[in-house]
Amino acid sequence: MRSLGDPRAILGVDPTKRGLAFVFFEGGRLLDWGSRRGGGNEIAAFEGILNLCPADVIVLEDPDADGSERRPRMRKLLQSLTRTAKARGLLVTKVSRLDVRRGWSARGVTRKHAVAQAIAEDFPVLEPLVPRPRKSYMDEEARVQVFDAASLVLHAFGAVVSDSLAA
Amino acid sequence: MPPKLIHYLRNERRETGLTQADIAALLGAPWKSKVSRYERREALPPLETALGYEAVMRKPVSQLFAGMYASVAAGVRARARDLLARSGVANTALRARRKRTLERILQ
Repeated sequence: MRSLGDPRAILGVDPTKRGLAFVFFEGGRLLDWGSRRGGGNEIAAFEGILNLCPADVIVLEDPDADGSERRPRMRKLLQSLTRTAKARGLLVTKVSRLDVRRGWSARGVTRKHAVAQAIAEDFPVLEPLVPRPRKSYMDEEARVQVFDAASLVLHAFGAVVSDSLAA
Repeated sequence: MPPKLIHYLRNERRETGLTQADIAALLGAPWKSKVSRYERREALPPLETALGYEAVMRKPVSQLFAGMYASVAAGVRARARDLLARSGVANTALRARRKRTLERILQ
């Protein structure tokens, strides 16, 4: 079992075509995760997550960073999420998806399934969510998005440290 | 850093590998929806249920409800400080014991 180096309450949110995936850390521990269906009102879903997970810091993807492949709807949504978080007085940290991919590549992890496995090794409570390896004819499983949100947080707040080291 | 969540029931349950239905069965609740409402912090469990959680998770209620405990404890400390300020001279054994108790609460 590992933990995040930063003890603040940190919420990572990743918008998907199905809604919003999130992970919530507090005191370095992964406390909550899941996804919320937007149903056309992702901001309400985001506020619901914020009410459930009262974070100090929000980690979002930077849609304007080099290498971002987000479509215009998602770019607008990410900007709206940033505005909503800032309106609540929260600190927003933006992370480039390309940097996240480069970070994993440096560790020899290139596929989403492998990323999910690597994160689940650090945080075994996520093991049940690790998807099956995806075939070309398979749609991406919704639970993968939780690992995308976790990737953003892990990238933004550096390496995870083991509990024995943190203690 | 003070805990942000009023309780950690959802996280603790997930760490144990139990389902909401398991918790409902262990607590003697007919439906898991009640457990879900507690975990989403839409409702607070009554004392009997909170103690049931302690028996299930093998952790004290003050740890399971860390955020709420921190806020209640801060209130108690503030009131203890007021009581101590309003206390007269501890000129009897009973008053001295009372003063020590209030000082211990403030620590």
